[in-house]
Amino acid sequence: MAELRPLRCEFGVLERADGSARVVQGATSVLAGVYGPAEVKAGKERSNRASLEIVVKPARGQGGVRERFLEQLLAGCCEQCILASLHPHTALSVVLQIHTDQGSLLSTLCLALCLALVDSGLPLSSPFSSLSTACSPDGDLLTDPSLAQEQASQSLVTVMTDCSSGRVISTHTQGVCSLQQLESSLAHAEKAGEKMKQFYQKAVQRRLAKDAKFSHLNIAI
Amino acid sequence: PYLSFFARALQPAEYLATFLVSPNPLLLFSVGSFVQEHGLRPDGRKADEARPVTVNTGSVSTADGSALVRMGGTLVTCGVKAELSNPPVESGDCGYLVCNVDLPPLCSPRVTPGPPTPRGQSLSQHLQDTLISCRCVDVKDLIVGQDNLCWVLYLDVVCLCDNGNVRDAVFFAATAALRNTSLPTVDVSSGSPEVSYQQRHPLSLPHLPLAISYSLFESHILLDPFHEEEELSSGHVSVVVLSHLKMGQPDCKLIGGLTKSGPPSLPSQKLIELVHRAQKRARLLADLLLTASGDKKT
Repeated sequence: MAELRPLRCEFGVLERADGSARVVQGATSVLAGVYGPAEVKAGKERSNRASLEIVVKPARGQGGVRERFLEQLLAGCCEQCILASLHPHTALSVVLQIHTDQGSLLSTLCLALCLALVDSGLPLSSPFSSLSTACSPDGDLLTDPSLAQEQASQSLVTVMTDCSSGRVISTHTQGVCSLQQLESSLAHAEKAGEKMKQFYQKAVQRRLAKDAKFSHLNIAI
Repeated sequence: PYLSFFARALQPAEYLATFLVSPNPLLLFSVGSFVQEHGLRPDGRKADEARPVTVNTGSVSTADGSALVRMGGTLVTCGVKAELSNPPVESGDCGYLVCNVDLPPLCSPRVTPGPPTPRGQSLSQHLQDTLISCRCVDVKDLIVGQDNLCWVLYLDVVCLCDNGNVRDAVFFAATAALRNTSLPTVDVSSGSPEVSYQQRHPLSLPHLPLAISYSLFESHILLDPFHEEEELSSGHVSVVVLSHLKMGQPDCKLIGGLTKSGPPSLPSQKLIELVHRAQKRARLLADLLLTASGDKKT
């Protein structure tokens, strides 16, 4: 049975943002802020939908090519799930701040993004979740690895799934893996998506009940 | 009305969609299937057909390795320069690679002069990540002697013409250039290193990365998109297959990367099917590479 690291999340962390969430998964910690629909710059304005901008800020320094790559992957999730056509001539901007990176960073970023979007009240077609799997050369799979487990493995597969349909929104792999390992990772991600859907429902209920902080939810799949 | 010349400029998405949808009304219900039996793309290809590929290696005499790759109208060149340097502090006794993918204004009317765009940076990052994380170049082999000296490989990939699917061409050019690269021999026995440029040995390359990309346009999955299809597509899938020689024949089983981004979402079986097809196509590309550098010993 595969397990995820302990997951802790907090809504409404940023007062000035329309939606925000802090997610701590194991020791990886990320803060996401969503701003919008807001006024858009003339050059970026789109007549049929909102224009989306995602910025990923690293824990230290300015951010370079690696952050641009992460932004492109996360933008794919947003394009898929946010009903941007409901807000034409506006801008939606998302800022993700990485506090600590102790493994499965892309997954945690994706979770924080989804929770912040839920907190902001923007129309979403469905929530999305993400699962990272570390593959070792002898075929073993470790779900939601820590940094040490990631570095010891041969590859890291991150899959973002649509929680309601189970379909794959985005994937990203790093390192060498076999086709069988890929298939297993996709299957694990689909199962995790179902569990995360229940988590989001609970999270929204607590948010609406004004219980903005809750912690130490262990999720097993 | 959607197939006229003006329609292509004014309503490009409808133009492309009209081509791809089968004229047989019974087959309209199978629009989600990968191979459109009757539907064709504007350049006459089927959804799973790629453009012809040509590769030319060793054309840049000043580089230690080079390649020029043409995939349809997309033209990409890669040059590899090796320099001596100190090994990086973090990793100790190995050499390192520095990849840069440049999309100059020359390649497309949509590129303006200025700093690298997110697209160019993302391509550079993808190539660098793949070569390092999949251990495509044996960096331990780049160490020279015992005295804190190593080779640094600078890979400069320049897109000369962007007619779509630059990623595949970039990976193929980088792979071909690496395979064409030979390092001079360095003699460290007499204290200071002596480089002999005449005696050269090839790089140790455990795996060769070959990228195969598809673009997602509405419900269609198009292999090797050209620039018009790429612009109209909302998402893309790139599979990096690693090829290594097994008894003289290329073996393309291992996956060095699967990147899917952008809508629409796909069921996981469809992704696995795409990876299968990519492995087959990688075999063709690997064979082409062997033929191109036929006189080079691995």
